[in-house]
This record gives sequence, C-alpha cells and structure tokens, in this order.
Amino acid sequence: MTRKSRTALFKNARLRVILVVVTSLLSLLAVALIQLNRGVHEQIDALATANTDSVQWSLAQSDIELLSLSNAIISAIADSPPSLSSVRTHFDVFFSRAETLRNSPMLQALREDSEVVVAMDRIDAFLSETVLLVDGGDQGLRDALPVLRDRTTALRNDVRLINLKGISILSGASVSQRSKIAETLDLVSYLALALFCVLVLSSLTSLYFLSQASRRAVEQGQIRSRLSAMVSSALDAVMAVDTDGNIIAYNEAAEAIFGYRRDEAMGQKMEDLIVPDHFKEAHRAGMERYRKTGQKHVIGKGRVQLEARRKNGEVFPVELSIASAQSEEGEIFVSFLRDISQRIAAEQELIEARDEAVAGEKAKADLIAVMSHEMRTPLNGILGTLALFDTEKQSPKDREYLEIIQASGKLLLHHVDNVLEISRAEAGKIEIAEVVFSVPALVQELVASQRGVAEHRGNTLSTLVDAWEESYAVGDATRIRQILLNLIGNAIKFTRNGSITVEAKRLSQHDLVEFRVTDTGIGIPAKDHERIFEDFVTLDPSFSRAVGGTGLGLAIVRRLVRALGGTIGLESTSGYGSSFWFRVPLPATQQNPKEQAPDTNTRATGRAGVARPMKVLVVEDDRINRVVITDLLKKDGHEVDEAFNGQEGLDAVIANTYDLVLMDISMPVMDGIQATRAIRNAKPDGALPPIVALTANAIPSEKDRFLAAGLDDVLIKPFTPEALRHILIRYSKDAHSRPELDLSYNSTFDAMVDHNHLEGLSSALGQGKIEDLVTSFIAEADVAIDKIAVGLASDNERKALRETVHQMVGTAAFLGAEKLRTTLAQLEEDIVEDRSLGTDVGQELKIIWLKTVPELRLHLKRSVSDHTP
Amino acid sequence: MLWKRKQFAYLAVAFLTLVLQPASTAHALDPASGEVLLTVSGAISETNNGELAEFGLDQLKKIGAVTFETTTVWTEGVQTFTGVELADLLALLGVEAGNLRASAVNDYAVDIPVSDAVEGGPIVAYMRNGNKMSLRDKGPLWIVYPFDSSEKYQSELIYSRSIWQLDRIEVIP
Repeated sequence: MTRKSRTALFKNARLRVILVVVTSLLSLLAVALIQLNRGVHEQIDALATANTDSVQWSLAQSDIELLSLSNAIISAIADSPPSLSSVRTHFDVFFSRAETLRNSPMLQALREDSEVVVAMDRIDAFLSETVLLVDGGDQGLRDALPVLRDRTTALRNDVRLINLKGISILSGASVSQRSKIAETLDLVSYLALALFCVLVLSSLTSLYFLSQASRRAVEQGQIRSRLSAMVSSALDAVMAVDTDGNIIAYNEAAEAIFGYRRDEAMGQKMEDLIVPDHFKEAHRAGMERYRKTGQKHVIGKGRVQLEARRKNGEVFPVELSIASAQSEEGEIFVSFLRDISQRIAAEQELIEARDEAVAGEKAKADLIAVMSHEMRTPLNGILGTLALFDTEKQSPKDREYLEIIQASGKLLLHHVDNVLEISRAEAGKIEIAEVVFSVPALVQELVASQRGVAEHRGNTLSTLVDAWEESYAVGDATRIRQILLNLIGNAIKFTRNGSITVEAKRLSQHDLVEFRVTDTGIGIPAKDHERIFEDFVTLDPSFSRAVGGTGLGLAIVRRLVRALGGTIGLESTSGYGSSFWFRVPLPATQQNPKEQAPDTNTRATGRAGVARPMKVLVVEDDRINRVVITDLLKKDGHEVDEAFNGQEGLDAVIANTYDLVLMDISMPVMDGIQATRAIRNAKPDGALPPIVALTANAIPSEKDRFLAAGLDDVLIKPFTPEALRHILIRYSKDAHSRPELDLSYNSTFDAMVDHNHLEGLSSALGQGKIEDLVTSFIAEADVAIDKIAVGLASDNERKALRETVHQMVGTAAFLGAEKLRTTLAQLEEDIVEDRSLGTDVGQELKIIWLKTVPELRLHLKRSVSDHTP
Repeated sequence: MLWKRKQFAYLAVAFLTLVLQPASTAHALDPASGEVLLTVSGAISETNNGELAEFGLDQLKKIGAVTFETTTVWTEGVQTFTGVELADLLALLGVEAGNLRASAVNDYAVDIPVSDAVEGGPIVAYMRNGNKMSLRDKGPLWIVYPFDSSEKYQSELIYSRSIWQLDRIEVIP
C-alpha cells in the first residue's frame, strides 16, 4: 500500500469517527429534546388536569349556587303559596356542589387548610340538617323557610372563605407549576440551541471533508494522469493482471516488446499470451499457490530473471519484478518486464571473449613450456657433450673454443631458465621460504663472489652496510640473493670503468630493509623508468645485443620483490648512472640460524663424490642424450645398458636386474610414464629398481604427475654431471646410513610421503625449518582431518569445508604428503563440482592420515644424524 | 252541512297531517313516557314533541346502554357509569355535524362539538355505580367521557364538556 492511500484510509477512518461522534451527539440531543418535550407536554397537561380554572369556577359556582338557594328560599317565603320545588332543586344543586368540594381530588390541598376544614364542617352540618327538611313534607319545609334563609345567609361567609382560600392556594400551585414549565422551556431552548450548534458544526465538518475529498479527488486525478503518463512512457513493459491472470493494463512498451497490440492483449489471460510453454505449469502452480495460501515467491521479491514469449513465438529472456496492489476490483499484480535479450547476448559475447583470451594465455604458457623443452633438450646435448671432452688433451686454442662454447651454452640455459621463471611466476608458483639469516653477511658474500666479474670490466664493487643492531633477520635469503645478483649483474653490464655500490639498511621502526645497487653507468632516461620492469624490454637493442639479455631480468626481479611483499624502484639520470632499490619486510629476530641450507647452486655445481659402481639402464630415444648419459656414467665406472624406447626398457627390466633406471618421458612406442607403470606391474615390489625420470619439461605440476605415475625422482634436462652423480649416490645401495629412505624408495607405490621431495626441501630450507613445519602440520592436520571427516557426513557443511580442504591440499603438497594431497585434491574437486561422495570418504581420509603421520615423523628422527655428511 | 264539510275538510287535513307525519318520523322516536329527563332542541331531524325531542329514562335506555369504569376529577375513586352513547343519541336524532349546547339544572352550559360523539367516546350517563343519579349526585344525566381510556380525554377542555345535572341540549348546526 502506498503512503498516499494509507493517508486517505486514515482520513477515512477519522471521518468515520467524527461522523459517529456527531451522529451520536445528535441522537443524544434529539432524545433529550424529545424527552424534555414530553416533559413539557406532561407539565402543560398537568396544568390542564390541575384544572385550576374549572376548580376555581367550581368554587365560585358554589357561592353562586348558595346564593341561588338563598334567593329561592326568600322567593318561597314571599310567594303564596311558596314555590317549594325551586327551593328543593337549588338545595340539590348546592348539595351536589358541596359534594364536589368534599370529594374532588383537585381540592385536596384546599381541604387540608384548617379554616377550610371548619368551614366545610359547617356546610356539611347545614346540608345534613336541611336535607331532612327538604326531603320531608311540604309543610315542614314551608315552616322552616325563614330559618333556612338565615342559615344560608350565615353559610355564605364559609363558602366565601373556601373560595378565597382556594384562590390563594391553587393560584400558588399554579404559579409554581408555571415557573417549572418556564424552566423546562428554558432547558428546551438551550438544548435546541445546542442541537443547532451541533448541526452547524456537523455541517461545517461535512463541508470541510467535502472540500478535502474534492481536493483529494483532484490530486488523485493528477496522480493518476501522472502515473498513466509514466506507465505509458516507461521503457519497460508494464502490465497488470487480476487474480484470475487476466491482463487489465498494458502499456506501449509492452506492445513493442511482446508484439501484441493493446486491444489484443487487454482482458486476455497473461499465461496464454506471454508465458512460454515450459513455464506455464510453474506459473499456474504459482498463481494457485498464491490464491490459496498467499505465499509469494516472485511477487514483491525484486528483480527476477525469467523467459517470456513474443507474439511470433520467440522466447526471450526478461528481467521482471512483480508487485501486488489493492484496487477497487480487488488484488492486482503489476509487472515490470524488461527485454534483456541484448544484454544476455552481450554477456555471452563477453564470456566468449574472455574464454578466448584465457585460451590465448594458456596457449602462450604452453608455448613457453614447449619451447623450454625444445631448447633444453639440444642444450643438454651440447653441454653434456662438452663435459665429455678431456680438456687436458686439447690444444690451448681448442680449449679456448670449448670454453666459449660452454659459456655460450650456459648463457642460453640461463635465458631459458629466466623464461621459465617468468612462466612459473605467472602461474603463481613462487614459493617463499622463511629462514633466519644475516643480511650483512649475505651482502658481503655476494659482493665478494661478483667482485671478479666487476673488475673484469674495470669496475670497483663495494658495500655500504649500516651497523646492524640485530644479528639476524627472517626471510627468504635465496630470493633476496637472486634479486641482488640480478641487479648487480645489470650494474656491471651497463657500467665500464666505474664504481658499483651495494647498500643495505634497515628502515627505522620498521620490518622493512632497503637494498640499493648504485652504479656510475650509462643511466636510464626518466621516461623509461616504469617500462624497464616490463617483460622483454631492452632499452637499446644494439647495446643489449652487445652485452646480451632477454629483457626479462628486471621483470623477474619485480615479480620476486612483489612476491616477498616488497616494492622496487629506481633513480637514474641518463649518462650519470642508476640507483635501483627494493624494500622487503625482513623482521629482525633474536633466533640463531639453524644449520643453513646448502645453496642449491652450490650443491648442483659443487664437487660430488662418485657412487660405487652400479648397473644402470638408460631408456632414452634421443641418440645424443643417450650417448652423453651413457658416457658420463661409464666414466664414473658404472655398468650401463641402453634402451631406445619404453617397450625396450620394460623388456630389459624384466630380463635383468638393475640398480637404477633413468627413464626419458617423451618417447615413441611407449612413453616413460607407461613404461614405468608396466614395470611396476611386472616386477615384484622387492625387485623393483628405482626409476628416475629424465625430462626437459620443468613445470612443477608435471613433476607431480610423474611422481604419481610411480617414478621415484626427476632429473631435469639439461643436467650437469654433478646432478647426475647426486642421483647415482642417492640411489646407490650402500647408502646404509639412511635405512628409512630405502623403506620409502622401495615401496613408493604405497608410500604416503614423497621422501625425496621432503629431503629436497630439507636441503633447501634447513632441517630445523622442515622439522618445525612437519610438527605444526601434524598438529594442524590432526584437527583439520577430523573436521573434514565430520563435515562430510552432512551435505550442508560440505561447501564450507572447501576452504579447509584447499588449504590442506596446499600444505600436504608442500611437505610431499602425496597420498593425502591427491585424496584431498580429488575431494576438493568433488566438492566444487558438487559430485556425490562415497559414504566412506571421511573414513578413508582418516586412514590415509594415520598412515601418513609415521612417515612424516621419520624426517623428525633424522634431525640428529642427517646433516653430518 | 257546509260547516260539517268544512269541518271534515279540516279534520281530513289534520288526519292526513297526523297520519303522514308519523309515516316519516314516528317509528324513530316514540313520545316520552314518564318524567322527561332530557330535552333536545334545534337542528334535529327527529322529534317527538313539536320541535323538540324529549327523553325519559326508558327512552334513553332503549337506545342502547354502555357501561365503563373511570375516575373523574370531581369524585373519589373509580366510578362505574352507564348510559347512552352520545353518538347513538345523535344518530337517532339525525345529527351529523355542528355543536351541541348542553345546559344543566345549575345553569352551567357548555358547547360540545358533534365530532366528540364517537363510538367509545362520551356517554350520557344515567347511572353511577349501579344507581340512578339524583340531582344531589350530579344527576339525573351526566355527560361522561371515558377519561381513563385515553390521554386525549384528560384535558381541561374535555373536563369542561363533562356537564352534570344535564337537562337540555340545543343542536346548533
């Protein structure tokens, strides 16, 4: 209901109240008046019945009648013979009058007067004595006439007294009666006045309401015309239907949208006209439900998206809102409909465009991955073959050529790695570690390692590190080293015979540490300050060609800084040098660094021992790679068999016993993954050799896929001889100092934890860190797994569990709890896709967790013995 | 003989007059017998004594008796009156409109409109409480309205028309 109609209703209610009050007042007054009127009537009647006039006449008459009697007596005395009948008649008349005086109720008041009583008694005495004479014989009466004459004369005083008394008493009564009537009449006039006032008041009120009503009628007319103007000019179709579904209003926009003219649509069933067939049932049910129960699903619920039908049968999407309203004919439903087919089409186009764009991105990422694969494989060949040269035997000239080839190959590998780093960063796969380290030490170390390169170009490289209050900071030392190396490398590259300074200082009152690399090189024009951080940007093509570079270095640096939660920038003037800085949060700590992880680089390039001779099968279709690997292994004294594809590899494994299988992944006939599965199926667990994948595909998700297929480890091509040696050492049978590893490697298929992965992490982050992580993971997961298992029982809570499951997937992946990870990942997917789950998923999850915990604990036990080499 | 003839002629006229007159009126109104209580004069179509209609008690009783009880403002207690309805009396006399000037022995006189004479209305009472009324008892005739039967009979005007010791009525057209 609108505010307006409520107000009207309210006024109506008020009007009704006033009417009721006025009417009751009027009737009250009328009743009072009628009552009073009757009172007046009664009083006037009473005045009439009081009969004072006739009573007084009657009293006066008694005097006259006595006189007549007296006269009759006197005449009788004078006459001869005296006329006695006249005496008798007049006696009777007087007698009768006296009777009246004695009995009339109207004379009651008079009779109560003591003097009147005496007078009446005397009259009675006269009558009772005289009646005997009158009724007696004529003679007796005749004789008594003189006496009677005297007595009637005497009686006149009494009659006169009664008369006078009567006048004074009865006129008094009549006066009081008249004044009472006057009072009543006064009251009547007051009441009449009041009635008049009320009537005037009610007429005024009626007049007021009449004018109000007419004003409202005018207003409502205006509102109506405004409304109808609005409705008819509305861009949305506006339709009203009654409770039977008949169209009772239909505007121009509706004509345009639905194709029905107004005269075609009015009075028709809305359902027949515009509801598409597949909605009719629901529409009917909805109307029916509303009629019966008053339940509203669409009405008054704001915008709803549905479909409607045009006259030509076309079904199109509409957005509508329906409101119910009260009209004179009862409830009606007013619908506003908007044809949104164009919007929906536009949305669809947008979605398609987005999908195409996403597909484009995917294609780019795929291209990069493929490219890296394609580049890494020949690089592997080049670098591997170079390593086979016995440099001692070469002439100095050849040795120099070989070194140049090797340097170029390494540079190319560096570029490819850069590209891959970008692709990883784009995929959000930069993982940030937290270790305790010394910032000044890190800077000094770096500068020391780069000083030679710098001096090679005539540059001095120095450090400017503030005095540090704290010994250590917490952060990702590896990434910071990577960033600084990149910036220092750039500075050296673009500076000749100048100076380079590396600074580090803690910003006051902050967790932030600012690093700054300043050179006196060629500088960067101001317009390029933003651009240089973008991908593949090299400012001077000729120059960059001279010094080499993909234009990805700073792009990677910026991504890394951002991943660390920091900011990066530069100040530079063309020709006067540049100053690059970055600020990252590195909170100070009182902790001591636990054993530092050996630098991955160091590990990969540093001296590795040589494993005891093993029997190795190399499965590789590429001849160059196969030759390189075989020769490297043979050089170290291992016995090597070769297979050219997966099938041959499988046959060889079945026929022989190997200590290790190196398995290329992409091969003709049978690829590495298929071959691995076949081997796993063919060989009893105890006789299974470890299988290590050889692949140029460096994307981490691929590695997971390999491990899931049953491969024990991954060696990414191209690899250095040292990397190969590490693998050989890791899987050599004499690694008895790590019996727990044997356990895991020999039963990888059923292993809950990827121990290789955890070991790798431990190398990278430090055993202490891993122990902390594992311990807290076990504690957290214990709770989370329970929560998930319980939550899964209820359909309603499943969605809410998704977040928990997702987090668990991430942590499980990080710590290499593979079985748990794959199970949870499957579960997450099922929840997201809303698939039905088996009843025992929760139970299964718990069992997997119970099996995972002891395996994770193995890595805790090792903390005592492991880091002794 | 001439005289006789003349005499005969007069006698014949007289006879005819005597015979013819009763032919139109004699049946309605018998001559009064006994003491005449009421004499009606004036515009009446029926008479029994020259211009007059005279009624003794018997004649009145023959017209038809009505009895009712009522109080009056002149007497004490409920009274029973018996008499002839004024309406019946006037109908008998062929009176349909006009006024009745009623006079009493005590020389009281009052005008009563003929329209008062309705059925259930005033009677010319000759008995009160079962007894004939003497002059002392406001008799012998008393025009009594049934005062208690209706408020319209309880007014000063009606009381003034209730004439007692009635002996004459003159009908004034």
